[in-house]
Amino acid sequence: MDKKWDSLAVETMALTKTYKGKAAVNHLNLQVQEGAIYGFIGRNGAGKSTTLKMLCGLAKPTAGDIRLFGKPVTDPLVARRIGCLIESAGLYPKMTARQNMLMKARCMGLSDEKSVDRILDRTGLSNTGNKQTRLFSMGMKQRLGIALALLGNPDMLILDEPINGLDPEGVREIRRLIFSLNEEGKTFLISSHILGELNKLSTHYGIIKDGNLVEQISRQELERNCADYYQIEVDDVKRSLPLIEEHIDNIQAKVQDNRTIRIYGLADGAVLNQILVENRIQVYASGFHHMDLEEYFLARMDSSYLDGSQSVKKGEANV
Amino acid sequence: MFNLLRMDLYRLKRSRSVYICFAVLLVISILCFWLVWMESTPQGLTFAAKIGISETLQGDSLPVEAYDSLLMFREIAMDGGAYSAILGVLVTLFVCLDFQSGFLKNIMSLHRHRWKYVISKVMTAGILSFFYLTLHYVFCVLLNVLFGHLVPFTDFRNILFYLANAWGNTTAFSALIITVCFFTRSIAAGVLTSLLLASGIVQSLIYAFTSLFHIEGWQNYTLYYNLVFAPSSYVKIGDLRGFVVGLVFLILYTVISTVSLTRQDI
Repeated sequence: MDKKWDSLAVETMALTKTYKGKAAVNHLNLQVQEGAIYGFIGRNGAGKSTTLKMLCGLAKPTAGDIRLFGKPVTDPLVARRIGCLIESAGLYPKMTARQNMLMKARCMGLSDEKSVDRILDRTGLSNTGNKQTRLFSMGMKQRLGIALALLGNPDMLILDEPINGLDPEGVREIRRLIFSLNEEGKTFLISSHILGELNKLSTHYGIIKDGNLVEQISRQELERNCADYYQIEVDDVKRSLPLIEEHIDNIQAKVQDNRTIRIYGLADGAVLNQILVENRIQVYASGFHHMDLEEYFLARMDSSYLDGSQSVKKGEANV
Repeated sequence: MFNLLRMDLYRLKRSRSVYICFAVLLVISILCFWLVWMESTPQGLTFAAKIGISETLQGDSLPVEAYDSLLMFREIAMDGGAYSAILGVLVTLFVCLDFQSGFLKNIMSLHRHRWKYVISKVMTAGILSFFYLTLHYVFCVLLNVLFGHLVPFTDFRNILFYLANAWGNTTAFSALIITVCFFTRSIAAGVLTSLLLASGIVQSLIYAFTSLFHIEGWQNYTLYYNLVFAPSSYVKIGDLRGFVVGLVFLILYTVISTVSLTRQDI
């Protein structure tokens, strides 16, 4: 199916949420294109869940505006186009999976019970029978949460930590499900701490830090930005760093720990090794590496490192 | 809103606590009728003596002959606050579980107008109270037959008048408990409020305090007073006060609940 990259499923304008004067989300300008799988990344307390809650109508913004499919978030018709799984699945513990689904179906005014069975089947929960959800494993609860979000065939799914507690097989099943639903044209906005998994899924990324959107980036841009770096392990970091800066231009060096330095923008590692050895610095290990999403995320989180720009600042070192 | 009501009724039907609470009411009724039977019939007195029970009538107790089926029902369920307390506990469990289970997120992400949720809950409580009152009264009538017509039957119009008044006031009481649940999201707070208010403890304490200043007239306009001291039949226009009080409080608590829920993040 053709992706509808030109229209926006989610657009927030200066979205702000404060609790007791402290901004949990601060002037957030988020844009999620229709058909995208948008990975929303941030540390605990960065404002991810608060943002998602505001998008789902569960929390009221202090300021700013939210447009979902071009309409205000308060529009009741827009609510029908969105399926949410926020924090936990939200299940009645003494009901079965099917009864929980029927509850939400009634809440939505759906009379077709076959769609309930179809979704349960699709999420691998059709064989849970009369088992009450309080007896479900964490993974089963998460799957049921996704099944609930799928009711009513929404155009967009907002999933907060959907693969929490899933076993590897379950993660793979959910990944397959997300891919197949995305193929059908559904948009996903997913927050997760499991960056490796998000890396496999997402077409776009948004990185949030202290309530501020640090960066929005497509997968292609991320690939470009995940520049190679050169990592060396030396016996004396304090002496090595000025030497590196002195002898090699247009690079950025970052101390990782008391024996590791990362150098970005370096073309020739052998030259650097030679300089260090000539200055009687012992080099234990060295080599080029490629950043993955996790490393990129951690780099973006370090504001002193990639301060607000998408490209690596060269010629500056951080100790 | 009717979708929400449909959902709530579906859940109510499957909720075990609904049946357990009703069973408690029935057990209380059986016990009361059994005690009346023991003190007012020759067979009962013989049985009581056989099992070693001796009873002394209190000076202010009404003789059994003064009772009818409605008065029996009122003594059993309403006057001590048993009915309101049980209904309050049930409403607390019903509402607070939405918060505790997190299912409320599923509901609120679909229904952006939160007043619909509040009205659905109040209507569910009203429907529950209607069935509880009706079935409980019918059960009391059946018990009366089973125990050999201990008391005479009440005129049907009086039954309707009283039950309608009780229904209005207990639904308003449920709305109050719903308000407490929305503010606190706590089962303990809901249950405690139900017990304190339904038993009349709070009313008695405030009454004792305000009577010191001779401003005790307010109690004529409380839900508790209009439930416990409601007239059993319609004689004059003033007998409709219970209906008005119930309606006013029902609207008031529904509005407070809506405002409270609208301002909250889920």
